[in-house]
Amino acid sequence: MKNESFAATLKKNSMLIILVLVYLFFLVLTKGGIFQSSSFTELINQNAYVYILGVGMLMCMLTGGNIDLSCGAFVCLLGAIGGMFMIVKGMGTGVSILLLILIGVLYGVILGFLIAYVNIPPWIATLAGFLAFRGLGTSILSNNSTTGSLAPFPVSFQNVFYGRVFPTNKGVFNIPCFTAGVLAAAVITLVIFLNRKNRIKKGYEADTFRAACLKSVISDAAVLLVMYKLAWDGGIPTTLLWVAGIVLIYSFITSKTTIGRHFYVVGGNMEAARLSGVNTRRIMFLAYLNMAVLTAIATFTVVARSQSAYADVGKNFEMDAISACVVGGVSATGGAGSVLGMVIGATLIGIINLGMSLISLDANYQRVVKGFVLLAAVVFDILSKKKER
Amino acid sequence: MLNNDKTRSTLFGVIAAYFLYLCYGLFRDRHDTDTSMTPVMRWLFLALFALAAVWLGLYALRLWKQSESESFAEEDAPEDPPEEEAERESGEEVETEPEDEPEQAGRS
Repeated sequence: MKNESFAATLKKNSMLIILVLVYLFFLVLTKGGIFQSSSFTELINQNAYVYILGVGMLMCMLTGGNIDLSCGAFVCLLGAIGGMFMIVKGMGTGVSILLLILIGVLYGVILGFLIAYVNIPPWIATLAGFLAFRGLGTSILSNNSTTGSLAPFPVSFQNVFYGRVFPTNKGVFNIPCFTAGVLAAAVITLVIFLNRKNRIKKGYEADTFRAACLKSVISDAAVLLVMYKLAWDGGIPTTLLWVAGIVLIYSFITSKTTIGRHFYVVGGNMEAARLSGVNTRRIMFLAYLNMAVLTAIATFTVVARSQSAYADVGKNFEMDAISACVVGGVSATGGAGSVLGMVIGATLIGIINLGMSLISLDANYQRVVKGFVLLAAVVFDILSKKKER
Repeated sequence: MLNNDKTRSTLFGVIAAYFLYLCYGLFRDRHDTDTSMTPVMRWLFLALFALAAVWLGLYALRLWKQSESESFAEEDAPEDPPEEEAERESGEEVETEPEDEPEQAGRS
């Protein structure tokens, strides 16, 4: 039984183990470069959009393997519109952010309505956006700038989406950052043991005390390591707050709320969900509305980091988000997957990207490696589906 | 709304298209001298991704056809027997049991 549970534990945490192994691989290859404080900050800042879009894509894929092909092009369009508002017209940061979110909501409502109520297949509805938005964004940029890009964005905008919380100079230990890490570790430990206690109380299968301690120790060590490294690199990036906030909120929604469970039920068996009284059309509508709003937030982080809006922004973002979900174990048929799985998938891809940049690997090789990672995840998905049947 | 196999085949179709896009990128940059990728490696990766795209595309097509035939089969499936026939059938089964019992009792 002990051997079986060990094997089952390994299988359950296979993506996490692969993540650690890949990290160790790049640790050796970069001669410790990936362990520098600046690498941790870069990993978060560079991949913030993958986490945010990945959450949105997860919600769409849960409803039955549906995807959004337009998110990358929509980032380009929103970036262009944001540049027009903040740089050309000189509008306030707050007002511009609000307007961009409203545009995201409007697009989400239209897209959700077309998919959920007019029954247009999602890939067709979003393909239209994929084809149209980049052209529209490029046109806005060319009309408002001679260089084809708009820069620089206001400092207040950059501080909100690419700044630091309680910043200090690099090389000076940031105490608030590490304190936040200690608090986060304490909360994680509390949540793990409270969950275990609740499961035992309700008669569900629960981790053993030893397993819970191990989980807690590993999670706390990871959080403390990251926060320790960030503390030496100037403090908590605001991007991390956005990513962590979104990930935690959606993790709660998908695991603890009725509407979150409805997403799984709709993806598992839509007809059964409908007969059980779940409003399947509303769930589909919400999935795409949600995706559009999250795309708007992802746009802010990307544009703030690049400090400009340009025509090529957002290229392949949809594939990065889909890869994060597929690599993270989200089922291509829907009804299975978790926010944590997507985060692990996104982190794995982020580490591979960062590692390859640090060893100055050719851009062609980087594309090839990303392609192979996605191919491996797809093959794994197909084989595991065949085994189920 | 599409069934799961159809959406799965759509997703795989999109991923196959992405592999073709990678092939196009490798092919487009074949004259790029400022790269460490040798021509042999470039063409090898290009061939691999092209094969992966074709395989995944065909798999997606098979899934699509499978889901289409399943949905046609559901539409053509005969209607469930009316409740009366079902009751009659269950009634016949109940009637035979008591007849069997006295015969069996006689035999024993």
